[in-house]
Amino acid sequence: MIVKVLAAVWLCFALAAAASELETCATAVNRGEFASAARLAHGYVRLHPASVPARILLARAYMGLDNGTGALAELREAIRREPGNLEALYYISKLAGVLSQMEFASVAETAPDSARTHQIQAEALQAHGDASGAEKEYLAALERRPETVAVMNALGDLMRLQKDYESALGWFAKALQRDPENYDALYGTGACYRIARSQREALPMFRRALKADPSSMAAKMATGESLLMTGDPQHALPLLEEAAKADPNLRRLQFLLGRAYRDLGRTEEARKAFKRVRVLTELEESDPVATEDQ
Amino acid sequence: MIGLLLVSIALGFAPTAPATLQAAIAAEKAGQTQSAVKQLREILRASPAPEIAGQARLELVRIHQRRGEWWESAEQLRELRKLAPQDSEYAYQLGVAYQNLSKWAFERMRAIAPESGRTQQMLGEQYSIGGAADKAIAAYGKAIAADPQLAGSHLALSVLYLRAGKRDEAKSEIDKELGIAPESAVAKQVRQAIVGGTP
Repeated sequence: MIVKVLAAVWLCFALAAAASELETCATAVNRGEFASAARLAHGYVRLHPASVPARILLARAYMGLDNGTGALAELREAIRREPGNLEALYYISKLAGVLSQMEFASVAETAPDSARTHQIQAEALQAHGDASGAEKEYLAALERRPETVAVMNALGDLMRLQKDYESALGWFAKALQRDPENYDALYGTGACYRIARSQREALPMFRRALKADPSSMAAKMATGESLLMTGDPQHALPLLEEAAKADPNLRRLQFLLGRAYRDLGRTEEARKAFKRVRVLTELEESDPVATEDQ
Repeated sequence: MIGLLLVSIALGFAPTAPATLQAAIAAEKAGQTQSAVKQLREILRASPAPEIAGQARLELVRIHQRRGEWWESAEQLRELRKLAPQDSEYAYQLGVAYQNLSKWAFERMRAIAPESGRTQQMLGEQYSIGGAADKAIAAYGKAIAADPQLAGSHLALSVLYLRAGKRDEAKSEIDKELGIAPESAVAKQVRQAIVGGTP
């Protein structure tokens, strides 16, 4: 009995000491005292290798010490031990974003007028909504490396987003000439056909895109939609169901799913899917960020 | 090629690194990706000559990129960068791998807990980087509503307001941040920038 009580007391002390060590470490990170934080967190991780919070603190300390690779290694281990840890995912997303920018900056430094540098600049301009600037840079990239399929696809996507479907189709066709089973070019062509021509013409392109990348949720949804709209709900349904399983919060997908169930006479499932559409619509209407994202 | 390799092993000859590399490439072409990855990793474990190591790593990068395995892809590209520090193509590919890793982590956050404070914070950061200040402010607002004690949201709002020349709002936000994280060196610096010499 006494041994049990002592063990419990010891466990309480050990847990309190561990929590206090981590708190000290967190305070050091917040204060910007990264070297001492790294020392503390490293010692803690050595004693408690399964501690995910300690690994995240160690990663943050490494970030402060400009050791991005070390930080990423700790975060990778954290996510391996706890795949759904939001804190770890948050820092992975942030850190990998910064590391990516550093690599791109190094490309611009070592090869300032290269195709890759122009491509990077084009992508940055596109992300900031400067379509004409992005087009110029993509063309400059293509001038330096005329066979780059990725740049042709990027130009196709750029035109497609501006609703210039004929120009977009021209770029995707050039990409497909060089790489006939290129996923991006096939999907882009299908997406243009769907709007500028018909679902019937889009369907074979989406099917080829899905064959090129069987894991693509976008291709599954697009193929499912084209099948549904061309009167084949039977074959559309499994694709739409698979896509909806991966992302249950996509309103359009739920709507398509509802239509497929309805066309197949599965009224109860159709009712559930349409109810989900209403819930998602209400959520989006109460959320300015989500509404604009749609 | 795989047949030849198996025969050589059966006869007691250890396959050379170039032969294993060719066998791995053939396996990959034949759709035996797991076997290819295994052979390529075996080559690398044996510390081969730099050109063989480089080729093996490049093959691994191709496989991992195709399968969307960004951790593994980045791992190989980092080694390739060490082998050829001046090769800007490796730097570009590593940048792309990191970019995809970042997207992957964010998508996981959105799938696991779309309304959580951290996910909304991340969304706010994305909007902020893209120059969409209004959307960023809305996302940070949602982050605060979801988790009022999570550090970082008031700090980010303060910086956004400061950039927009709204000093009073910036000060109010940074004071809230310091209420949550009194030790934050960054928050103290931002407050200093807002109020100047005034404590």
